[in-house]
Amino acid sequence: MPPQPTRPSLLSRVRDPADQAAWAEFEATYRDLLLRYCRRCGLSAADAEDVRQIVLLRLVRALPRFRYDPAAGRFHDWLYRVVRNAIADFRACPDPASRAVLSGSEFERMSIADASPADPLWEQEWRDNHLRRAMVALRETCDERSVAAFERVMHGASLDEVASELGMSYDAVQKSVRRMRKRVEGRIAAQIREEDAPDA
Amino acid sequence: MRDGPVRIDDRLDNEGWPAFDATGSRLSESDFAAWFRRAHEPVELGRLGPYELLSEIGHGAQGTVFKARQPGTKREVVLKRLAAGTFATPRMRARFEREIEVLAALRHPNIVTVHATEVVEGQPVLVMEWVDGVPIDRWAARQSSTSAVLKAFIAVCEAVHHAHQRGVIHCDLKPSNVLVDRESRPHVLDFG
Repeated sequence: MPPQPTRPSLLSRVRDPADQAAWAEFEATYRDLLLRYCRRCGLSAADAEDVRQIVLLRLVRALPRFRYDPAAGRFHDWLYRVVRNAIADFRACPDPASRAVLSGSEFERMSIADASPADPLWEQEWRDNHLRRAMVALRETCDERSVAAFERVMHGASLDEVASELGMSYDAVQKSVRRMRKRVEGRIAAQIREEDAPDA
Repeated sequence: MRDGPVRIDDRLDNEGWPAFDATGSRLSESDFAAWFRRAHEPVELGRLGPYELLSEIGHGAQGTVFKARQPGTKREVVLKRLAAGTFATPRMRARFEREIEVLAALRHPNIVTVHATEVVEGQPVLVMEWVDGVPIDRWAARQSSTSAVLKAFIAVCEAVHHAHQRGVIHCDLKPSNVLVDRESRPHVLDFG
């Protein structure tokens, strides 16, 4: 039996515009993904921020009516389409003063069934975002030395070097790094399960 | 809900990456490390007007803060731009401009210095001193001398007192808003 979420999914909670904590969490979850993808599409940092604003404004309008069924399409594919539309609208509207009234009417009619398979660049950024988020969470919950050993090895240090730097045995570093990797994988799997959790 | 490994699209394979589920569980140690490094590469931010953006160092409901390089002098500075960008309402702009006025009026060795206020790409931007420091709680935890910590504490009190005398209340004084530089001098930030 598939594991059940222990709380309403983030998507369920952001449907309530008054739930500021849910919106803050949603923003924190996807902010980096949106900005990095926009930058990789060639937008400047300032324009990437503006596109992020367009995406959030449209989500605020659309999510209260949005019904999520992962069997019909995955949320991150749908979000990709929202972002692509926002970038296209932004580029088509060179006057900054007019951008604030971009209607996004086509977007407002979109449902999860309109989710389109993303381009490889988005997939890569989405996957990388999950890895970064997992690391942020683990830095808060795991002991500092385990995280430091893992990050040093990921950045190319040998097990011997890390053992010497952190005053650990070679075997202890090796075990710690393996344990941390399992935690990272488990954390990413949990994040994706939460993202894909259907409406209750 | 999906159970077990979550497959991602095999189209990624044509970029030279082995097929793997989204958690990376099937990657070899070296491929996992390569993925880790790529995911943590800083994204190139480009420019904001004439400034070369080096990194994003913070963001909140009101503003986005960048470390940047100033043209000409090449010195490193901090830029604060309204987070809402071109979507900022008149009220948000007014609030931001008030913050700029407040900060520009405060001149104290323990309060971050405002270099300039500019309009860049149609948006008000605050250009501030870059402080190469660590939050005061992390700095204090590494000090063996109580007198050094007390000296920093007194400097922070004097900075806050300076602001109070000019009718400015910080409202968000916390360790992450006080950076201590290499000379053990604290700098109070974020009077917004």
